[in-house]
Amino acid sequence: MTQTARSAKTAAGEPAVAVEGLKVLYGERVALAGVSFEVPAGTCFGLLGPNGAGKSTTMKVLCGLVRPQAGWVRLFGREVSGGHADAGRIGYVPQAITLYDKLTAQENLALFGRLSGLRGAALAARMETVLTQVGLADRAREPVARFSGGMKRRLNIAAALLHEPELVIMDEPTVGVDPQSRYHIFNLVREMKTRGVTVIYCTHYMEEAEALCDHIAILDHGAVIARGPLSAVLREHAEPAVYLELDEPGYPEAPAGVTPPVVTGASPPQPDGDGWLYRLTAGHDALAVLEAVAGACRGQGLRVRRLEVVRPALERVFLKLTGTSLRDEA
Amino acid sequence: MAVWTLTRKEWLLLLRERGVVFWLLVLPMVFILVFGAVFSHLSGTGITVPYVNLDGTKAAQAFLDAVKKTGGLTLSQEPASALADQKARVAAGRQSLLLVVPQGFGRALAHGTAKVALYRAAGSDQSTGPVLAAVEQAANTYRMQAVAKTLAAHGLPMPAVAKVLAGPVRVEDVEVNAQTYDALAQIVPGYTVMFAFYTIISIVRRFHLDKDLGMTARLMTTRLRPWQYLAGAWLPYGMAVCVQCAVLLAFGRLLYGVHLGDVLAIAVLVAAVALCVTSMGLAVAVWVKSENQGNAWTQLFALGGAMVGGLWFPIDMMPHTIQIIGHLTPQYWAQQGMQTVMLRAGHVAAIWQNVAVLAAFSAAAFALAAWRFPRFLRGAVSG
Repeated sequence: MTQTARSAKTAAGEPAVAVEGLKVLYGERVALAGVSFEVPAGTCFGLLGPNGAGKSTTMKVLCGLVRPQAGWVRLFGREVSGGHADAGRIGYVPQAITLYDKLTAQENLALFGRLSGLRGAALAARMETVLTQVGLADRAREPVARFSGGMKRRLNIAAALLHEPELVIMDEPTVGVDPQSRYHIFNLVREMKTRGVTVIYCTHYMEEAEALCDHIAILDHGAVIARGPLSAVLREHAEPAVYLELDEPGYPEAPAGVTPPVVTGASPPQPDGDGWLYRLTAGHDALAVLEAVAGACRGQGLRVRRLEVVRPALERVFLKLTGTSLRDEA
Repeated sequence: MAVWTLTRKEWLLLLRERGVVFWLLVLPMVFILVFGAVFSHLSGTGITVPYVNLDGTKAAQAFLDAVKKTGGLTLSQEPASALADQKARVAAGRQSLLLVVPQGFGRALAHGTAKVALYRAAGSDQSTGPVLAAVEQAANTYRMQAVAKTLAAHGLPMPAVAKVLAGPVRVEDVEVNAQTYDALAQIVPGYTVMFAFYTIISIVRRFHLDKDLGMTARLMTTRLRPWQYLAGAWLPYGMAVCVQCAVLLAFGRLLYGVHLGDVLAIAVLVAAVALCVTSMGLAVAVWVKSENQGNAWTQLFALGGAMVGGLWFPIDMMPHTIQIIGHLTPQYWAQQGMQTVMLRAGHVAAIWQNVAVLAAFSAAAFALAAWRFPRFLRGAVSG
């Protein structure tokens, strides 16, 4: 059965993953304190949070590795009580590279493929497909020990895709990889989405979440502090701003003599990169402020190089919600 | 099928692990080779006695033949010219003994005054004592013959002479079911069993590498069941122990001609040893907190068990208390079983008790492993 056909079996509107009130304790330590979220089928869902927030524990609960003390998980409309009921529908890409260095890429894949129920020609065909997908087809017979960090990361992902899972859970899949491998991994995630595969993507890199995720949940201290479609979370937790760059002689090397205008509806402009940022004050519209800045510049005879309404970066929202204090894991 | 998949993976890793062949096979072979060579002279026909025959008469040769006939030793002739050098070697402790038949031995024997000299290095009583006894036994034969002649000359009938010479106490030498006893029949199975227990280290290493790497957790996200993970570690190492034992016993057979006896019975014992070792390996692996801790426990089980279980020396050479403790080790039952087959021509029926005890050890160890495994697994996936 193909992935698309299998995904279609999820009832219309039914989320691929629904989590409600998850509580997990490791001894005295609270890892999850009532986590709830939903992941729409066929989307990429960003699971974000500082170290120790509960992301890995949440993923382990979804994979059936950790049994919650309270709450429930529903995968594709069916409640799971932990364990292996849905092992065939889930592909897990752990943060650690779980490959045997002394085995070849092919032997590692064969191990995971067989343990996922693949055999014979079907296994061989799938191995060829995923090796091609991750750009390692010509290195299939080499021991993993000879691979670079990026190649190992890609093979780590390939091992999770062998059995054509409907849900792929990726725990920081781009840690320590070069830009080329990261680009390849991004394409792989986008390709999965186009095939209807649901992806839960856990990362510390906010630009990755912005580039790949449709929905996000931000966890902190074992609880969800923000969730929803990415754009909605950004809208809810940060106002847009107006960005201005001038085109004056000697600018931006010698901007001292150049003063950006002050306008109503925004705080005084703050230097930001090569220009200035106008943060909106309460009740004001970004477009009105943009027009005011443009008019003021015209009035003062300043030539404008760039003037735009900018969406706040996810990183800013993340830091606003989780704070800036260090979170060293115990 | 999952168990076989893990077994296949483990064999590939084992075969590619640098040093595995050395630790599993070469090192035990070296031990068997070295200790076999060192202790083989302790076997019945293994003591070699250098001798110098300065007389060269038929009578001297007859005496040497009588010494040889006592059994338990081999005579090795040295030329008369080497006498001084041989004595110097004994004096320097580089040689433990030297038998010298002096010139004129034949003539002196005719007069009843013959003498031979046995030079023995100081402090070598344990190894040369049996030789002294053998030479005295040969000399005693001549004394008996002289007494018999004298009694007959005084008119005592031969049956009466025989009765007088027989003595009031006789020793009946009964060798029960034994093939040729040989120190090698101690060393070859002893080191085979001892090194089989070192497989515990490999099992502990696999469990803790998998745990630290996150592999245990990753494997558990597939369709693999926890019991299959346990069985997938047990089966490949069980097979490895069987191969290791087969190679080491065959090595002993080819190199030293050790008598193996009933191969089926040996195979049953090897399988029982493999079951026991791997079950203990699983138990140690899931109970210890680190690989280092596992290595320490393995040394305790392997070396401690070898010492008190009679793998290094026959257990009856040890103090009574140690012998009692020895009975509590699986090594004792394995070694006794091996020797029942190899020395006393035992078959499967003769070793059922040994196999049963080894199976009981296995069952206990496996129960401990199964009991603790869920906790190990929780630690492995939550780490």
